Amino acid sequence: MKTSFIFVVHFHQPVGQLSSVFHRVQRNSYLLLTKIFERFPEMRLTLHFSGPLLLMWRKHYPGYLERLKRLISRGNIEVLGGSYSEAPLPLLPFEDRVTQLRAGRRLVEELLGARPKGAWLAERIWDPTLPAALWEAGYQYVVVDDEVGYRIGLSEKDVHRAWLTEYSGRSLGVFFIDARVRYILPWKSPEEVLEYLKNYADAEGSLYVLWGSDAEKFGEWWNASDAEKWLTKFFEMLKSNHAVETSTPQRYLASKGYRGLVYLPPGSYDKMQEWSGGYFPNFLRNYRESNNMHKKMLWVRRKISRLREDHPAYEEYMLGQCNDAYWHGLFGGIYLPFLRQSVYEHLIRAERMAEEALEAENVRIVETDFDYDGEMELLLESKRMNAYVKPSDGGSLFELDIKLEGYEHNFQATMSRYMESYLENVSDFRPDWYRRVSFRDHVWREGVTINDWTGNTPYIDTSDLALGRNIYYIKEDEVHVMFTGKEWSLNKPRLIFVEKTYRLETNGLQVKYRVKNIEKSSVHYLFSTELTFLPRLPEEGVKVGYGINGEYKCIEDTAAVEKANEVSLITEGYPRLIIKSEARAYVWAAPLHSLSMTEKGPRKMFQGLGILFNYPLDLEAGQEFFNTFNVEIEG
Amino acid sequence: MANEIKNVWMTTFEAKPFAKVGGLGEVPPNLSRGLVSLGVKATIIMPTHGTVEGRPQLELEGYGPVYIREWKGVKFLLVGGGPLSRPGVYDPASLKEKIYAFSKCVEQLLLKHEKLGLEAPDIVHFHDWHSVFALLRAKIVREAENLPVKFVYHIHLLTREKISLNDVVQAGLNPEREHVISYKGKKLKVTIREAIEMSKGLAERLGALEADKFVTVSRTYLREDKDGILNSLGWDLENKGSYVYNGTDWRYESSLKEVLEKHREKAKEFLGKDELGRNDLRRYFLLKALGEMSKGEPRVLDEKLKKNLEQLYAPPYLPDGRVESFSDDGPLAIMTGRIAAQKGINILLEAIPLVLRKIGNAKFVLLLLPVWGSEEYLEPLVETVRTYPENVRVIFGIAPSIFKLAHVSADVFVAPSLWEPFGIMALEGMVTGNPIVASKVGGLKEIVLDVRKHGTSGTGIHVTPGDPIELAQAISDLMLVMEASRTGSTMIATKIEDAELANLLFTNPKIGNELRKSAIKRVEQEFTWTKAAEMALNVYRSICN
Repeated sequence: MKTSFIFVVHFHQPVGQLSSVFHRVQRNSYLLLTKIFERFPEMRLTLHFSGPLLLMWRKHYPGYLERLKRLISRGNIEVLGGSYSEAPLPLLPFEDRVTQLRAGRRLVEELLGARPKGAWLAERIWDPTLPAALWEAGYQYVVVDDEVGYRIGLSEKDVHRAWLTEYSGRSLGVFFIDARVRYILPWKSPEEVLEYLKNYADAEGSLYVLWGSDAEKFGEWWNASDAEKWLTKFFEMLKSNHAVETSTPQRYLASKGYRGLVYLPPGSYDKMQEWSGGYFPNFLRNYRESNNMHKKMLWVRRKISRLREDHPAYEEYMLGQCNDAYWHGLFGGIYLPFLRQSVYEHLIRAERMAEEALEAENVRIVETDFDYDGEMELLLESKRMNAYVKPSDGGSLFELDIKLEGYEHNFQATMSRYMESYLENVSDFRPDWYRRVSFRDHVWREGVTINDWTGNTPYIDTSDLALGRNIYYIKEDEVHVMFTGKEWSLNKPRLIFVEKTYRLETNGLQVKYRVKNIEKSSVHYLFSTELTFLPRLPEEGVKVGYGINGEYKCIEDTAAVEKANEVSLITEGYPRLIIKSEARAYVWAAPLHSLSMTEKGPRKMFQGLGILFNYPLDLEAGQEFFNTFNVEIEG
Repeated sequence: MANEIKNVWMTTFEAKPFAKVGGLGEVPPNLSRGLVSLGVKATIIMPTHGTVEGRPQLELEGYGPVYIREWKGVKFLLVGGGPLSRPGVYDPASLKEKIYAFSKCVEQLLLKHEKLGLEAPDIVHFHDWHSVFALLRAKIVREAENLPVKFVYHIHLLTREKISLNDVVQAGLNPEREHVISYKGKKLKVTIREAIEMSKGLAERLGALEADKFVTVSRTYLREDKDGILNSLGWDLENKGSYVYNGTDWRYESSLKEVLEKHREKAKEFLGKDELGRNDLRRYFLLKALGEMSKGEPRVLDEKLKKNLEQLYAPPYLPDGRVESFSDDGPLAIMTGRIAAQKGINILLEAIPLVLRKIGNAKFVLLLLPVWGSEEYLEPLVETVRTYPENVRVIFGIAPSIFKLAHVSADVFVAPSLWEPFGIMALEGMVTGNPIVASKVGGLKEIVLDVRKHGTSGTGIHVTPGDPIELAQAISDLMLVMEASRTGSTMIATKIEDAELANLLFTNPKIGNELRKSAIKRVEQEFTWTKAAEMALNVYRSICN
């Protein structure tokens, strides 16, 4: 009686990971695992190293890479390939899938000297259309979760066998991860795990049990010495046990082959199914910020698609496809500002390279459904900046890209606070009722406080300007958006007209305001323009702050300054972004925090600096208030 | 020649320059002028409605005074006395009395024309249902006196007015009086009672039965419209029916000249240039002239409606109904006419936001006349203006200082009528160089040639009446065609939804100008009053033969 145990360990750090985290995980987990693997040359292992991690190693730990290479060359390890940047393949255009997978394969070959036959899928996101791209890129099989097999009625035994699937005349092998062993290894004792494995032993040894999960479970998620002890003991027990034989996908296939043909629905591991609502691309629907990144990717793709595939812009573009920032489960994901920043940094860099190579004209305005929601957006593009405006969402600015070389950054890579299942019982949490971006307008109820604004007190905005569906037009180098809103503080709604004119200048963005009282009597309003920025986040230890009329504040400070007209965002080593309002205002500034779960419990996380320019307006019938904002990048 | 028509009388309740309420007031005098230009003597008989005073030229014994006036070669016989002298053309309080009194006067004029020194008419042309009793009396006199005169009855807009035997008696007619009508190609001897029965009590059907021939204003309104003449009055009248188009006096060059005489200096000063093209006029109109209407404009004749409106006015309206100008230029669509359900105002109000979603700088200027029954539309119209203060203006009332300027500045004319027997406003729109988005109904179906079928000789786009989505798409597309053609912008062109229009623009980038020219040409060649008079003359000849 025998069974095969296939141990697939996945090593990954996202593009844009904080270097302190990377170095810590390297110490706690990767070095530990390498040490143990070296001690057990008889253990057959299957390892996957993500592209971003391989690149980090190449940069920071070239010696470690050599050590891995030696380990692999001993012959007991099968290395899996995958995409170049651990990209969520179902979200990518078909050509990108192939490009990513081919580049991923080349990277593994180059840095580890291995020639992978199987591929690891980022977040194990399976999609029935994937076989075509994987086949094109030369992969023969992948690892997916048994959940996916169970959903089409495969039996428990079936999901412990290898199958073939097919799409568009391209076939691909599939191995299933056993969910139960994933839940007990390494959280239960080695004895219990071994007992579980033995359940699948039969006379022919036709079944395998595949564990596939994160390397960081060993040493990073729980303490390193306990992990070391656990794994050492487990390997020792496996060595001396004859009912369970360690194997690899290649080895298993060589003796048992495929069981037959299956067709599998889209899916991933159980938790991912829950978080995504059953289908990974749903994250794009659930988080506008995620969709924004994804559609920025598609927009950049249009530009780079005119370049040769070996143009360096492609490398940047692919790095901008790393999956981690595009979704959210329990931990950070899209809520991690430095990951969002990194995605945009790479995409904007690829965009700039493409524009330079193609000699794009300086100022362009494009009207397009950028985010694929059926409404038009207006993209103002210059050599130095992009400013994207969404007329249907309050005429707000939802992307402000700086394209200067070395300073690529989207100041609107902020994150709104969404209702998450783990926040349902947090009493004072109210999700944002609008996307926290810029040039969104409010009329506040009398007595409004900073906390009302940042904490989403209900009914504090008495107008419908914030979410108004603006009409718009392009005139030469200007974009006009306008909306007549209703203000509800009295019994009968009062009309207020707001027109904004966006224009890209050499060093920045100009936004002109015209606010008009459309009532036949005079009105008094506290009219506010809200801006939210993600300052350029630096490497740790470097100061980030802001200034209001010259007074410096730490980024975590809240401030209220009367008669102010200038706010600047200050990151050491990065040009200042200066926001000037022609009309002086009562200016509020406050950091916006989300409440995120981490491996170590709930934590407040900075998502952007909110700035509110409040203008008390007394307007006679038909009277107008004019203001101009200039948002400039210094130097 | 037996069919030589020398003398035509027309009866009507309204005619400019003496009493004009709606579009009808244009037709008898202009058609008469057309006849005059063709060498036919034309006389209009109508009540004075108190508009004429002084010593009458004639006296109809026992009935009242007759004032003889002449206007542009047309003779007017304005009959007064009793109810006929009362003001308020269609004042319900005295309308029936007027109708009866008027019928007797017409009868007397026909009977005593020689005595009165009037030439005998070859044709009497009766306009609208108010003339039906006059027609009935004329029939009886003709038979009694064996007069060699033929009668034409003209239906401008079906009102489905009911008449009863009581009305006949009230009008002083004997219900049992026999007379001859032509019906289905035969002569029938019937009593008035029987004629009323045959007409199912409908004034207009009675008019059509009694007349030698009846006409309306378009072929579509006669034969095709669901609520048109034959579909409403009965196909048994088919062989008696014909149509005579309306026309317009407007010409492109003279309209432009008129506008420039009024506005040239101000426009030059505002624009800072001497040469004024159509685009310049548009800019001047939208950014300047619109906000500077002459004092007293827009004029609302009815005091109660005026008060209603003053309650509603709020920016961008001034308290007196004038408006602020726009702050930016943009493709301009205009509409004119009475405020009535028939005109499709609600449909346009639904369509406007859809157009603006696509063309944010589109401008709509609606020059509308508030009339009784239009109250329910006033508030939605004002609210639309306030909701889109940079896109929509509705001018309530008469605004001569900008009316033609609006026409020669516009890019598109909109005629979204639910029904429209003819649609003179469409002629005015076209002759001032605007392609038309028009409901495919009534006269609009014949006036407008769809660009998608006729190419550059087309004059607009037809839409299904009552469909705001189709209307919005047609307005947007036509605006985009005009704007893309004007500016050469390919970005604008990509927004055109109708593939045929997009293709036309692609193959003919200057199509905007060509459509303007086609629109002008079609009106100036096909829809003059002289053309209308020729059509009328053909009808007269057909019955004199």
